[in-house]
Amino acid sequence: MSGATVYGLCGAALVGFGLFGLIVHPEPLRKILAFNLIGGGVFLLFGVVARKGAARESAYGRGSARQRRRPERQLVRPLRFEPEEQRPHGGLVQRAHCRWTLAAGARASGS
Amino acid sequence: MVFDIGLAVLVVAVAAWTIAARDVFAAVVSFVAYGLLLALVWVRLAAPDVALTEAAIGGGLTGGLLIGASSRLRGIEAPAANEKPGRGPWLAAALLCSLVSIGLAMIVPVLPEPSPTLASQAAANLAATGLSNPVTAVLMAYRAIDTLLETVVLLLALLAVWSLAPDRFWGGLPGRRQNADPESVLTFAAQLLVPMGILIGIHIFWIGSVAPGGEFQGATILAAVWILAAMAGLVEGPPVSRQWLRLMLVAGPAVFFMIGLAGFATAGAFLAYPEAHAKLLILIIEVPVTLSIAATLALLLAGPPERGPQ
Amino acid sequence: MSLALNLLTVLAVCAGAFFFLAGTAGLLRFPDPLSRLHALTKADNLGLGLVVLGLLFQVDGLLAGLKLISVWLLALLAGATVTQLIARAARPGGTPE
Repeated sequence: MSGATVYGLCGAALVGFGLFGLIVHPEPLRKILAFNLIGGGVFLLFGVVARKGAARESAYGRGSARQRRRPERQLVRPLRFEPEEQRPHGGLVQRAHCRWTLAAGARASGS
Repeated sequence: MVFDIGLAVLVVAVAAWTIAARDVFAAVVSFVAYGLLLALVWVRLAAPDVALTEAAIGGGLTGGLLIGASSRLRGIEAPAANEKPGRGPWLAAALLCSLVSIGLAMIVPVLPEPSPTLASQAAANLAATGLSNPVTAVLMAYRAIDTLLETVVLLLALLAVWSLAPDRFWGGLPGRRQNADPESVLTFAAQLLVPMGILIGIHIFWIGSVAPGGEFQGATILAAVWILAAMAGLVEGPPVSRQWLRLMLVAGPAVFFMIGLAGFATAGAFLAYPEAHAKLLILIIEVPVTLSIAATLALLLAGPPERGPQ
Repeated sequence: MSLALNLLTVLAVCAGAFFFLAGTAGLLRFPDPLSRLHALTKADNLGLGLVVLGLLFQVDGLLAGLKLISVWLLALLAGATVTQLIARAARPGGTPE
């Protein structure tokens, strides 16, 4: 069970709670709050599907080379850099292209 | 992983408290907290743009709107309490919602991994748009029609808010009068924060082409800066009948739409950009859209006109 | 060297977390809004400062360190502003009209 699956379950729970609040509360403002919860849960489910898909890339960086020096010490730690993506130059396009080229052979499905 | 589980449990707990709180104001406050925690969840899902937007708009702007709404509705909520469902419907609703939740939860672990996605095509065509941030490319190039419609929807929401004004105040100053004590700490702090906020807002808008950011997040910060200045009494809101204000509100969607129409002539489809000038066109769209959205969000938060136009 | 840095980070972040806990305890236990605001601003800002201090040992450049410090200063300023706004509404006399 990966982190993304945990958040998928969280999204499912949010949809349930939001739907319950939408049905049970008579006041319009509480209904709006519950509806926003449903929306948040649905977006979380979308995000989980995207995360399981191709969005395994790492944190965004600027295009310049200065910030690419020591990526393993990035402050936003959970967003990992894959070792083969440490390029000393090139922006997101080049890194992303490199990743999709590597992954294309592994994936059987087109889209 | 432990952090993920803890964060997910916390988000669900705060959402449950939003539903279960007795007092409307407590529910709104816990909704704001839920919005901020959700921003953390988006960071964990490797979506920093969505996290920025959730923190700014979901946590900040919607929270402000809801707190204002809950204070306005304070006296009127009581009669609705008679319509609370009895035991039977309550249990039926709980059962139904549990079934929906369990159904969704059963789908989540069996999602295909890796899921079918268009991300590779999005990344492959990124060079043609001249941007480095694929999220901005999706917003402004691949799905520009959705962004155009979003700006129009925001304008319609603003019109709906304005239509709540009493007839005699139509076109007047939004919000209540704020008393400003020029010597107070609040005025000083606001005077410090406003220039910094403007700088940060413009920076986040500008950096959206290469890093997480973009016009919605930057516009929300600019709107918040204006609201802060208004609440500290530093500015008086412009009367909503002013021509320049209405022009600023409409400029974003109008420019977007006109460049979209020009796409018929230059590149063959609505909102298509000729490849050589894609970045320039996107920039020409983004600047008025940011200003429009900032003005729209600030006026949404300020509310319908409550005073005459001076 | 990195072990010492990591140790300092853990200590500072733990101290910061302790101050956050103290601020939350004050939020829950203090009787009226003004004293709760006091607990929140003092304890939470000190907690944030300690957390930022701990993270400063982990940055890899002057710019990132400056960014962290400016985040802390902005949080201080924003916290002070919001506290003033809330306190104006919450004090016994109410908002001055």
